[in-house]
Amino acid sequence: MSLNRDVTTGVRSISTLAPIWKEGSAVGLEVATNVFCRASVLRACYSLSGDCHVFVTEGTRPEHLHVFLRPKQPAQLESVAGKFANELVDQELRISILAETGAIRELIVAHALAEGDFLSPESDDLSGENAGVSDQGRQ
Amino acid sequence: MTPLSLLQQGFSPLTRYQPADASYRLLPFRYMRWGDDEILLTNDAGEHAFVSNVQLAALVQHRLDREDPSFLDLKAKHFLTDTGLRVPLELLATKYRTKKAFLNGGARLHLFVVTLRCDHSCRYCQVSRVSEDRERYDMSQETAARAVDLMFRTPAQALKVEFQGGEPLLCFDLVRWLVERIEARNLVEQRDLQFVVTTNLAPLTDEMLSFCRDHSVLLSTSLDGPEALHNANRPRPGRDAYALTVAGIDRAQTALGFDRVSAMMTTTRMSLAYPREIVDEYVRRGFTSIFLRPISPYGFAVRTGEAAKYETDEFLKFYRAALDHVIALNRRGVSFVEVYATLLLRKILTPFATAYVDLQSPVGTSVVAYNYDGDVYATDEGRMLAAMGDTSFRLGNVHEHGYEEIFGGSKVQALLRDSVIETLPGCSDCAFLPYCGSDPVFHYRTQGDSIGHRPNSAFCHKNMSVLRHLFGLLRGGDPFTRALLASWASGVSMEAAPS
Repeated sequence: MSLNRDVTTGVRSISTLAPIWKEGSAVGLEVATNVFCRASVLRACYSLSGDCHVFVTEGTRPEHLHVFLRPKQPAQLESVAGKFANELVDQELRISILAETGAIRELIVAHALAEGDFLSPESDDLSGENAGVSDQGRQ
Repeated sequence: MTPLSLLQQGFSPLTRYQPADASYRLLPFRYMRWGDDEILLTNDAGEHAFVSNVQLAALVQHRLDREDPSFLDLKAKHFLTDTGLRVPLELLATKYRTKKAFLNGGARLHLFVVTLRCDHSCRYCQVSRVSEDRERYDMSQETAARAVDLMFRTPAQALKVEFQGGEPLLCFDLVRWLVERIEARNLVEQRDLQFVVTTNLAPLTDEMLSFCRDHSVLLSTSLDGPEALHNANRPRPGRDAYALTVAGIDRAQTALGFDRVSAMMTTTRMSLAYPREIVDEYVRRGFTSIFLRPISPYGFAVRTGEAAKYETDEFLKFYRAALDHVIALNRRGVSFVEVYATLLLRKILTPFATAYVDLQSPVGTSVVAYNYDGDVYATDEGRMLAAMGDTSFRLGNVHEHGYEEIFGGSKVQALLRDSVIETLPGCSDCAFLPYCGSDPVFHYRTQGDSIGHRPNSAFCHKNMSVLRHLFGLLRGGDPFTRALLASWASGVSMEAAPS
């Protein structure tokens, strides 16, 4: 799929901010992976994969991915691009919340289902260092 | 320090219990956009809260003000903590353990498929019944005895024994033999037993009713709605399915009591036009609840094409219309419950789990189905699939395998692994996760993969839509509707609930 930057009418007004272009019956988006992690991009793609055929590839610039969405039913490409963009933000936020709370979730499940006390006295520390918070979810 | 000196010391000042600074810590949660300016937050314990976009942004950036109206609510529901981690983690772990209580003790529901024979020819039959006269599809006493041995190896204190078919009353001698054998064995085992026969009631005799009364056997039947609809859905020789069923319901209710007889309906394409009439039929027959169920994609429902005849959206339209009618009936003073909504509301509004397998995660430990030939399945749908020639979910056979091989084998482990909703793509981030399930057999059947593809899953679409509808009623419904739904969840009638 060539990178024909025939920007659609609906997104032209934001084209200087968001690299979004029309590619036949598909819409293409360039996503900076230093803004959105790869996991966020793939999760956003998955969530739209019921309504669209999705293709993801490395972008032409470093640290960028290209995402192509082709609606399975006739749809406004601008709307599809907008839905993907919002989903991307939500997925990034979910991953951010998971990174902050994932270790706590594991601790809760372990403490709930295993016989034994997994909560150390340091669990009262709000700083996070003693709760073993990891960068879970980011990849 | 003596107790007296402790008392004399008195309470510490309030500031002793207040956080030293304005910081707080997020606790695990998921979220979902709800309209333009609302967000639904949920956590693994099943707590939920609605916040605005601004409040969510402030929450995750650790700048939600203590004076914000949502702060104390989010703290009370364990979306954040400003007083340390140990106490909220202890409480969340307790709540989580309660939600997952169905995992403790192994299988509680044991299905004995005593025969595949049936006198009906229902187009949506999920179990691939055979004609009445083929006794080779009956379970033998030897098979039944081995199944009982296996059941009592299960550590669960409460055992629900459900006789299924085909039509189990066509094989009533075996049902009687099994009940008596299990009761005799239980003199030593001392489990809490419950017996249920799932029947169309057509073959019901007074002798059977007496036995059911004497042994506290519950009857569960199928009633699809008014006569024309029921007869169209459930043909039998003489076209008298409805007459036989309602006569059986009347006799069973008289002999056993109204609370000992229940009914289920299945939604066919024809049913879609009659949501109110179906509910009214249940009310007329003296039932206090209805379970609005779509067709399952197994057995004859697939061979006849019945399962593919309507889209999930059409069922959801039907479901909402029927639920609206149920609520309207309650508003007029008729106490009546929709069961599927109740199962979900219990998960939303109470700390407890439900025994309903389709809404569990993981799947594989709660139910055992013993087929007439001795094959063992971890779900009823697994044996329905086997009747279609696919034994993917067959765990073993009571004649060939022991307890450990069947319940600890690779099939069960794969089923468990593929049904942990917290790990499934599309589910792991979903705010409805605490209330939903995974149904790996459904996804295997409809999508060729136990994990499945949620964006195209009819199971996901149905549950998301019903949950959205229920949350919508809880959020925006009138006070009567909200109180009614809360009463369904708690099991306490509105009349009995304190005002």
